[in-house]
Amino acid sequence: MSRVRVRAPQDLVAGASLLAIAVFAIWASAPLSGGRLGAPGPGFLPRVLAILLGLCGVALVGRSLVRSGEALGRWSWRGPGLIALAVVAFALTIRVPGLAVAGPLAMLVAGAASPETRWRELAIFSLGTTAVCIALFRSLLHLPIPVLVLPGLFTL
Amino acid sequence: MSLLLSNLSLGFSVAFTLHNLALCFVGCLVGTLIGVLPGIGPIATITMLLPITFGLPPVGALIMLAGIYYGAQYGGSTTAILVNIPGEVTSVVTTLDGHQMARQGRAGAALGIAALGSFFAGCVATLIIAGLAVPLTRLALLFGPAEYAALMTAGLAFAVVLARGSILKSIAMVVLGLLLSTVGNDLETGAERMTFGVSSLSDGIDFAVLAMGLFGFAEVMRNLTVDQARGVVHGKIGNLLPSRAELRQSAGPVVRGTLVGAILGILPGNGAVLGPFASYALEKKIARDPGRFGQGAIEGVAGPESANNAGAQTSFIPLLTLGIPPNAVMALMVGAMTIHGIVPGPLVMTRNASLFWGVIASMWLGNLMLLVINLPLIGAWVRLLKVPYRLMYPAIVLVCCVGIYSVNNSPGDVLLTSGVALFGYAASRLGFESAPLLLGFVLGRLLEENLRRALAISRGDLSVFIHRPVSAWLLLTGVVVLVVAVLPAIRTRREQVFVEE
Amino acid sequence: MRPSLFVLAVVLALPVRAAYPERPITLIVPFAAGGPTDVVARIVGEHMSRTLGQQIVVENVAGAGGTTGSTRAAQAAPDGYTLEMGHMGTHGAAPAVYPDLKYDPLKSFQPIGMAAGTPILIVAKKSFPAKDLKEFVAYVKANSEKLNEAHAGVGSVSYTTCALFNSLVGAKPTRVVYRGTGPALNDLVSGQVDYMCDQIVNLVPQIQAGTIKAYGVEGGRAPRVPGLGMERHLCPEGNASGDRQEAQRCAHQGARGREHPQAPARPGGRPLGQGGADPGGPGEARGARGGPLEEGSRLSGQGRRAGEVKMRRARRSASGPRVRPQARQPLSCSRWWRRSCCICSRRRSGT
Repeated sequence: MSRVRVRAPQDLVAGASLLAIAVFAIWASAPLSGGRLGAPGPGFLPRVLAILLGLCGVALVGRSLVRSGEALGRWSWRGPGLIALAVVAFALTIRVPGLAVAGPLAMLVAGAASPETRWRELAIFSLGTTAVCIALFRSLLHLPIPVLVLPGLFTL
Repeated sequence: MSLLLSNLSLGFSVAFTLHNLALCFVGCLVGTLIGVLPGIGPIATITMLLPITFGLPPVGALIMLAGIYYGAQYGGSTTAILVNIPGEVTSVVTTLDGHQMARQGRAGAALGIAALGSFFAGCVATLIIAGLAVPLTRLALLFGPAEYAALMTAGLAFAVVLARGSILKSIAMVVLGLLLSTVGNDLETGAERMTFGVSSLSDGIDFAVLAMGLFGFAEVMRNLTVDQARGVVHGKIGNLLPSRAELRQSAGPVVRGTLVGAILGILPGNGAVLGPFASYALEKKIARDPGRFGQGAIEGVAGPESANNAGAQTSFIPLLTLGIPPNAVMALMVGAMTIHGIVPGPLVMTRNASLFWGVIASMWLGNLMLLVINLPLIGAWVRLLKVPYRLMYPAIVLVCCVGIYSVNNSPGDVLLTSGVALFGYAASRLGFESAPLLLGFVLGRLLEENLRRALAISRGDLSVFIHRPVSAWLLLTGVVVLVVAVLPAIRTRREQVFVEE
Repeated sequence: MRPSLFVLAVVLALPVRAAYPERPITLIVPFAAGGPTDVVARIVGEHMSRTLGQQIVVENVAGAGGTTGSTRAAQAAPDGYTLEMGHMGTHGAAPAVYPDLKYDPLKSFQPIGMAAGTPILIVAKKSFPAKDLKEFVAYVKANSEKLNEAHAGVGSVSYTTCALFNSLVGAKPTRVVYRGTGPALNDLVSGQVDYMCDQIVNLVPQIQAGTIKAYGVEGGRAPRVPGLGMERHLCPEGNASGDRQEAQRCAHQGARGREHPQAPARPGGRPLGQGGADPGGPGEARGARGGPLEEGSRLSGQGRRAGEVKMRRARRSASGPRVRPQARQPLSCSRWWRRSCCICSRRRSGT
């Protein structure tokens, strides 16, 4: 049996991911009732779409074996991971310590994602940006964003 | 005709008082500001500022709130062009070519044509509202659920045209977007669809979450990994305004975009959302060299921006003539009007003529003010781009985080966005584009609701989509657009296959 | 039929503190901004801010028919600084419609007061072949399978009231769901659907312009719509101690304070003192949970009767320690805003 040569690795992984998502969607919408074509239930469209997505995935996988395309390329996860971590850090600290802490924290963690970051510069800049955000969102636009919340002590 | 002139003069006499002018200015300024800030949109802002309007007379309050609304449209395009973050649903299309123009150093031209095109669209839209409001409303009433479903289906076909790269991958992204739009509580039965018990998902995924995740954070991730030295803007900053040649190039798209946006904006049910997409698809299709689109073609900014603004203005029509708000922002206006003692309805036009025409006249004034505010600001924005990226991107991250949090005061939304961002990064690495996903997401809910509604009313008869003439025509348009978009790709592939053999 | 009762569940069971409120109070509105509930909340909140001397910050937490916001309010700290504006949907129908509701409308909240009450109208498309309520009911009974009824979502006011109407009349129309009353009204005006039940506020402009027809109203007369009736509304007041009194007094004044610039003087809704009476809502909740199941809705005659009893009780005790004798002063919001809304805050556990 001749070995099947993958001519477009990127398409292969793309197609496989689509298939995975499609299978996941079908599993997730299993408890919903499908209804008939004339009276679609809540599960009808999700299932139809999941099947369509799966078909796209199959087509992509098939195409990757026939047509040459791009290779996967280098994927660096350090940068994106740190950015995601920065956002998570913000989410976890926005309610209790408040924006005054969450802001600089998020910016500093995000700064770690780039080797060009100059830490002292970033620290000062992050304090400034946080102050501007507070002024903008809280004072000017009257949004209920907690600025500094120290439970038991005070709430801003 | 004379009636129109006398009504307009009544309107201008109301709108031109110092008081109302000042309120218009404040509204436009605040609107531009929140349009620029990601996450927070006109809805939240109008809500926040409603209490401030309590002390104002009704006309003044409405003028200010309306200013916030279309000011936000302007501001949304600014971030779309500068940092590839769509401030509003309607700015998603502007990111495609607008940001590319910014990367090539033509940010000024992009911002300028966006402002000028929007102003033109605003003028035309004001005239349309003044002259044709009532007949257009009657047209809009022809649109039932079947027509909307057909319109949305046609809209999906535009998504394929939006594709810059592989059409198959774009179709897959549209389908994924549709799938994501089904997450949440089912409207009809209340069943939870794919929410896995997470309460913040029970109303569906927020547009801001997807937009920030896919466009904001993922973009930052992309920029960091591909080329460390790459900032937001490459190379020299060009002219601050579009050149004469660019203006000539944009004239046609602006006019066409205005018409498309104006018509779609009238449809109650948020038809305005389709305007920019339709305009982009139209321009790409009739351009002599469509390959330029997606690489910084100015038509790709001029058309959609005009459609955007025209739609925003004409979406006031169902509110002013019928009293029925076509989207969430207009619903807020209804609330604002009611608080001030004007109950919106078909009789507002005659009973509160000075209010009606005053608001319409102030729309034109608002557009003028936005032009006056935004053109000089272009210089400031462009200079902002010179900030080194190592400082810029943490600031973008922070402002986006605050923006998302401000939508629902929910940290869960922010967490979800980080997940979406990682997904967006992975997707772009695999060659997928985000714009078709957003389009599918936005249209998905509208499509499904209207589809099921139409089938409920017709008792399961699928032929209702063909029997009703408007719906049939729309479906046909969608099919034609799809075929026309896919055909060249098939032809080239056949050639490729032949060449390889 | 009863007017819709919006109950404010405000829960404050606090020991009397000298300087309440010391900081801004959050008023959660479990619906999107700009809607009727939100507007009432802002009007009342603005006035309350002035009386209490602290800002009332309105926070919109929309979703799931109002239950997301109510859950947030129920889980907030029971210190009197989180209030909620709820209504019949969030505190009456919700337990019946949402099986795993994360709050108990009776136990998780303590009522502060009723802000407004709105009658519900039955309206139909312009071309509906019936001249009055009698013909309408007869037509609906005979042809219900062919008719389409619009509503604004499971658990909403339009959903539950029409469910009641349909069950009383014995009709089984196709119930077409919309995302809010705006789109539903739009399709009614264009004739895509046949009839719906909705709050009078949204409908009167259309009725007056002749784009839709009105057939009946719950509970009396609707002066702005000739031929239909509307019932006067009540703002019961409890006599709990301390902060609750304070909040109630202010809610009451706030409800009264804002004079609608265009509202003609109308027969006063007299505030009536009623010791510890829970405004209708919790009674409805009880009724809703206990009643027989209707197709998709669980409001029952029991609930209706409980509500009526509450009303009658409230009406009877015409005077109490906290009655403000200005009978001529109209209720809080304008005529258009006569809906009962509830301000709620978290009940302190164990008190």
